[in-house]
Amino acid sequence: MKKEIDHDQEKMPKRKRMNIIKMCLIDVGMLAASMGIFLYFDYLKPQTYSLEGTTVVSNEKDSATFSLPTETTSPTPSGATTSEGSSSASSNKTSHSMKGGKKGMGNTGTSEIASDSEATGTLSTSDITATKLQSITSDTTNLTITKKEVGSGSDKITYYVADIYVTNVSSIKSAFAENTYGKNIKTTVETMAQENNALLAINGDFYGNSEEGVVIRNGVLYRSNVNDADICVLFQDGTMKTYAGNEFDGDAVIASGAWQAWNFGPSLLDGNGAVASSFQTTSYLNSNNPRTAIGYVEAGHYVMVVVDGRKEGYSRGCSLTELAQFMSLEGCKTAYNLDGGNSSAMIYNGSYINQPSSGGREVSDIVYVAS
Amino acid sequence: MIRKIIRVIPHLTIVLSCMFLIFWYLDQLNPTMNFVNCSISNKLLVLFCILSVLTSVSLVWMDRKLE
Repeated sequence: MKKEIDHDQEKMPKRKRMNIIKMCLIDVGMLAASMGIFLYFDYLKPQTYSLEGTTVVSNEKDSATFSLPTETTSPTPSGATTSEGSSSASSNKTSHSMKGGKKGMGNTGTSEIASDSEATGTLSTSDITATKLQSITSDTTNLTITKKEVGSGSDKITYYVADIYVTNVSSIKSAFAENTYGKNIKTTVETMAQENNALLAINGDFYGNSEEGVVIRNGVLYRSNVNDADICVLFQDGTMKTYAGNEFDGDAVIASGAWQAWNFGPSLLDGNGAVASSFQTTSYLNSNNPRTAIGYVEAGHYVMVVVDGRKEGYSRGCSLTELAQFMSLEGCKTAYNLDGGNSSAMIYNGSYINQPSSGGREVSDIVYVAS
Repeated sequence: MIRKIIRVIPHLTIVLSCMFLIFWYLDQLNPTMNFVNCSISNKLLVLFCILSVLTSVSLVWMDRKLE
């Protein structure tokens, strides 16, 4: 019996073993192909999100109105509170529930990082060279754009400040790339500004790069899951408030009349105009980079700042502490960091004001002042 | 056919393991990308777990067969 089995085994052709190096190369090839397929579906392929579950949370007509400043007087908000975070928005909305809201299971890996004010030093207006670039006044908007420079040589920082007064907070709008809510749907800030006839536009929080984060745009709630990043909300009464991810109460924010909400962060100031003692961010984001930030001085008065960077001799970029100092010097009580790096862009009347790093980047959304 | 499948499964497990290692490393560099915890990665994780089980079962089975 055993001899028959041995004889049968001799007749069967021996399986040739694959060369080990060839096997490893095939595995590496499969890995590269798998990574390519993953990156295509996760990072490149445009995906339109369903609008099921989106909720109108506020209307333009409910927005508070303000007076524009005269040459000698400060702006006077009418019918709006000026206290931080409170809202006098009318309650004529039909009841809206926060559909589809859930706590994000993931997080952005942020941690509390101390601001380095001591290392950075105290910045004052005398350190800054300012050049007014544009100034426009209309019935609804008063806008001034100033180029500011601080430092010299390889330490030089160039940034652009848009000082904005509006008679109605609904003049501060958001727009999606291709006017479509979804992931990996991107276009340039310039294109979106032109499509929406924006007087002034900056890049937003690049919501389309992630599946998490609160998205409220022009009074519509698109997404309500939170992560650990700070959230900034612009209310219909003209006030702006920032929240830590774990403090954010979506229902309360919606009930207070949220007009816009961004989820990138961190919050830069302490609510009284001083640089925050720490930032909820990552060490990657805390290095010198081009920056975009939005700030709140008082209801009806806002500041948008874009810091150029990665161009030695022109602008090295700035840290979050330096950005917070810039916003504080502009008189902001609240300030919030938006997406930066190659995304940072400021457009006025359809043309770039700043010099985006590496020619800029296609992004998923903008914040703009309607003309 | 089954032998071919058994031979391929460990390689798929290796590929998926390496993918998650790369995702983890990229997330360390820039956590906002969130490769490890996106919806596609969650599905790949389930596939990875299934392949790991199949790989381990086949190893145990072959080990017992050799004994």
